[in-house]
Amino acid sequence: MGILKRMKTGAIVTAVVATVAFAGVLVAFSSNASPYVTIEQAKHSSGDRLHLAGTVDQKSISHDVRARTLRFKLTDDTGAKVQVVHQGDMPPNLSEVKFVVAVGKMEGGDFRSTQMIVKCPSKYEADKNSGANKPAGGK
Amino acid sequence: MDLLQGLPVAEPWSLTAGSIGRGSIQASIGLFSLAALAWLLPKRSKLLDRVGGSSFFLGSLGLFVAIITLGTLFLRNQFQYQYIFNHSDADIPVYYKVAAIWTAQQGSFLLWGVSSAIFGLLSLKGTGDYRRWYGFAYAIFLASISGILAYESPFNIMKDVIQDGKVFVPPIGDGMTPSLQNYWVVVHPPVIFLGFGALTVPFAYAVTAMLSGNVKDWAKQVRPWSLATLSILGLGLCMGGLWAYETQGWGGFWAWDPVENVSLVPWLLMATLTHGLIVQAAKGKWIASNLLLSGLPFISFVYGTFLTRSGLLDKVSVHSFASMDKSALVILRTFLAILATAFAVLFVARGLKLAKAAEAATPMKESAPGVDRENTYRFGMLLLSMLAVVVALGMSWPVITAVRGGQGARVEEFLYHLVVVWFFVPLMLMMAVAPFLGWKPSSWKEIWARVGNQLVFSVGLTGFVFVGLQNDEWGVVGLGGKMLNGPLNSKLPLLPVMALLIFLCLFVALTGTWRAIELGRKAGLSLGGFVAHFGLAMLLGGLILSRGFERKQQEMIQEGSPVQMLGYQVAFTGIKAKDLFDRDGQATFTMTDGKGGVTKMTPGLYYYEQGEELKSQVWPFVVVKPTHDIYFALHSPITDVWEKPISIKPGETKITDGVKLTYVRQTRTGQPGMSGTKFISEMKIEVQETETKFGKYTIRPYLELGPDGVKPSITPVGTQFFAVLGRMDASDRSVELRLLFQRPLYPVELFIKPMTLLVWFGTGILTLGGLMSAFARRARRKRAPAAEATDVVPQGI
Repeated sequence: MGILKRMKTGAIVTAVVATVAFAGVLVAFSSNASPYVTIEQAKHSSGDRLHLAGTVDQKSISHDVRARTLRFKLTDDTGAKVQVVHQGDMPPNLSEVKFVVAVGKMEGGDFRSTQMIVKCPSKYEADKNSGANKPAGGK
Repeated sequence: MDLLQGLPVAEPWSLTAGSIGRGSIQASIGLFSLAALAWLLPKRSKLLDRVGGSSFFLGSLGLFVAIITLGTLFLRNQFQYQYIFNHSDADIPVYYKVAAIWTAQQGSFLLWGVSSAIFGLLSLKGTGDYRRWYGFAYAIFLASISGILAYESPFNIMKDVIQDGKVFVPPIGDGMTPSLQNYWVVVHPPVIFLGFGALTVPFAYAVTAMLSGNVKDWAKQVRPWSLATLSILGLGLCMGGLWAYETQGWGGFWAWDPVENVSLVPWLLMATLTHGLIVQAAKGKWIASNLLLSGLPFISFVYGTFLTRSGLLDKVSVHSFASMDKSALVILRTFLAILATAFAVLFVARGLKLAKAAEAATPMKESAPGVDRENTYRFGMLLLSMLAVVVALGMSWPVITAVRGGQGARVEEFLYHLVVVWFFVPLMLMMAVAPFLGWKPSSWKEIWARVGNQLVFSVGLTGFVFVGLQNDEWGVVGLGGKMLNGPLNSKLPLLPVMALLIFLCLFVALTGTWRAIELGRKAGLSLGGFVAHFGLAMLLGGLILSRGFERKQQEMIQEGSPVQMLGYQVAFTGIKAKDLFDRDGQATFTMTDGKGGVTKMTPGLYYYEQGEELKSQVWPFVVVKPTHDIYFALHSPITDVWEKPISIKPGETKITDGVKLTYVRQTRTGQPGMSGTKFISEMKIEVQETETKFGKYTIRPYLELGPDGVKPSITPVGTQFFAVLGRMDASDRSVELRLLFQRPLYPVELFIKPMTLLVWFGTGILTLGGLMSAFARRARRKRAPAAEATDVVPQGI
């Protein structure tokens, strides 16, 4: 009896609320975070916000400006290749970019993406100390 | 190397300056270490105290000298230094040359060190009995950051410009990244880094309290500092959001990017601490949690810095980070590990016991049943700190999940919103009720009697807001059917959710104002807390309204072909620029509403050369109205039909992006090698010209030999395109062809965002309130601490 009685009700409720909240957050994140996938994993995943990271094959880029569709071949970390069909907000100047993360899902052998996270190569890439293109630390 | 010929040799002063910069940082390492040692030695004497203080002062001076030296080198265009070459240029305005100091890693670490040192010097004076251990803890940190700077030095001279023992100065630098060239780069980093620097103060106080054994008195001393830190960091965060909004072109303030979260976590923890300190000051309670909360903001910031610098989040952030110098990263990692471990050990081994003993010595009454300020603060702080945990977990999620195997997973904006709202709603309710709670418990009935009116009034006000938003141009008309992602994959209707969120903001703003008026002028600066809460409610309300009721549409616009966007007719009218490279260049558009009213929009557009390529820099254009912002984002204009020129040989046919191209034959007029000779490529081309119209043309673009080399013709293809030849390959007779739009395509995005002005006002009021509070709680030496005891006014924010 001793411990419980000595602890104040407030502290007990606090601890319970904290634990429940923390567990809730963990569950929410575990079940809803968008996974990074390889092409092979994308074929077997059900989510529609799969994050497929890879390099862009510059020669394969085709851009139907009027239909707002961008197509290119993407090579993932494992070396596998896939045709990405992107519709939605257009990334600026894909031809300057090597590395992208396409967000979407597999559909009929193509990866259909609705969002493209583009890493702009730093202007100073060639230099020894490649620079960040944002002020460091905070934005 | 021939390249160096003709370049001026570096003036001796510039090389001396570099040595001074490097030397002063090294001296700072030594001086801060000496200060720490002097304060650590067990046998105390006045001399040791004086050595500690003087070394601390001189060490700080070393950092100041370093940043001033760096600034001078930037201003005087000393491009022989790698850091200056990489981030500045001869022709950028003076204020950008100064701002270039902090546009990359080395300089921003220096800025962190400098702002920490400033706060160190300012706070050391008022530490009183805590001086010894406070100075010790602070000096250790400053020695570490100076150590990092010794490796991440901005004072390194490029190897390429050294020849025969001489250093040559390149006439130009690589320039500042064009997307950074905006007034915010001058304003925002110094403010947020002052905030980061100020985080060291509460941390050092917590360590000091635990080392010295006196865990009671520090609360009063640290309060103004914690409030100032909270305000400055908050201002920095808001400025970052405003910067993103004004320049990035995605129409928002906050994207839950790791870089943003790294600053938000310490802010949330600091906000928690400021409330905990109120309880400690008033009732002598919660010492242990305050000690912990005082250290955590700083530790979480160092952790965040490490996380974003380590390359662990490469795939997650849209920001590209420079990978740190390996030795510097090792120092940072070691520092983080030692810092977190030492703090944890100190807290568990000493802090907890000391806090318990101190609380036991303070007579405490049994709490009576009911709701009082203490238990409201307890839950408020719990939720606030949990919010910090949510954000910290969210930003670390890619790393946490990657450790468990696989490639990891990312917490996206929608998920943050989904989780954060569970904390937001009760927090806002508590913020609304707290002004009417005293330290003595009240029954629910009493609370209702005090707050009920305001609650009903807030519901009514929410209704009024919705009536005010009945506007089909910028308000809620037409948004009725919109749904939001809810928990457990459910869909929630937008309007009721927004109504709830707006109600909460109004409720907080209203109760705070009400209570402030009740207390009136006698409360003076102590009203800062209410002001800050009012500003926060306004800021959040602005963010919620402008994002929740946002309308947006993306289109391509060509000259002469206006398009309909969100009920307006938008037309491209021309380019206003001295030349392609004019930094003040603008693309001009007009937006005509249904009644014929015309708004002129001039998003920024200019070009710059990068290597052999021509790149464009664009800035969005914002029309600020009292009721809404019209946010018009221009993206890089599209001139080429194809991403890359097509290479084609005679006899070949290629279909690319719907264009059929056949290279019929190559002919020539004139003699090879003679000026005026033309190499003509006869081609057949089939191309879609409008939605319904296809055109078939035979074209004869050519390359002409002239005195200045080979020039291509600009050959019209129907009325929509130009064909331009590129490289010709003699070996297989292939040519490269570019197909250009006669009228370039301008990809634009139009956002209409209601009540965005509230974000600006909210930011200002929040900061003002925070600083008022900090000033009200400043240490006043010779005044009786009556205000604390009588406690007429709820304190702090």
